[in-house]
Amino acid sequence: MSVVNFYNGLTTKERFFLSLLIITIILSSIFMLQSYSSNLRLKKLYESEIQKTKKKYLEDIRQREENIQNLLNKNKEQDEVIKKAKNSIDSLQKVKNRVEIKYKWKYKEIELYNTEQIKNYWKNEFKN
Amino acid sequence: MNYTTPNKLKTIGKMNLRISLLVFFLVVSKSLFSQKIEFPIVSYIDGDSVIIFTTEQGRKLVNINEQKKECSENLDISVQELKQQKVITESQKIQLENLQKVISDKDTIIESNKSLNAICEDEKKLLQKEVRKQKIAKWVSVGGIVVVGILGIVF
Repeated sequence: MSVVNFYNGLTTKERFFLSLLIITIILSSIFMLQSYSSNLRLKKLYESEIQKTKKKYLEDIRQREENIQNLLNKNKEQDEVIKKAKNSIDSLQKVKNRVEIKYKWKYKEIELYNTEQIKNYWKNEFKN
Repeated sequence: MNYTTPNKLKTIGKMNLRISLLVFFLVVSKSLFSQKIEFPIVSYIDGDSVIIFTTEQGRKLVNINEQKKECSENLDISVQELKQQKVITESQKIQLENLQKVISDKDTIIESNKSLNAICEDEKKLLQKEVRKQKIAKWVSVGGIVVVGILGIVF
């Protein structure tokens, strides 16, 4: 009742300004609420986009790290292949040395061959 | 006596000629037979043509044959060595390619991390802004309440 009395006690000019004030307050509140909600929506969207981008980057990093690990494992396998090949080369070097020694002895033996031994040598050669 | 002397001389002359011829043939034949034979020679035995070498030549041939065998064995070993070297080279090539891929991946990871850092920095800035905004809002609302309170008391 006091509000009605207060309103009734106002002049026409004052009523007009009061109404204008109330309308302005209502409109600005609506505007503020709308802007707040749209702001909130945009913020959420931005955050979700950022989260997506971050997730994408993190996934990419994870995949690349996995790939690096695979490549390093492959290199380890290749290390094994190289090791085997090097061992094989070492064995071949030993065989080469043995061949050299074998023939050194053979040449010395040949120097002492008599006619009969030379004949037998060639006989054997042609038998084979 | 006058007739016999020329005959004797004639006979002596003939004899000398024969002796000289004999000596000549002897010398020639000796020089021919005493000449050393150069081996290898080709001979025919039981209808087969054969090549005859001296023992020394035969030994030399044995030596050459053995050298050939040694070379052949060394060649086989070298071929195998070469194969193994190729295997090593191929493996090292693969390793190099893999390492280059690793470097490229690491570079990309560094770039991604930089981007993530930038995003985080942006987020940090936004949060700081938000905190500042909320602080202002808090002080504005406190101020508003104070003003409304004072107005309430006054009126």
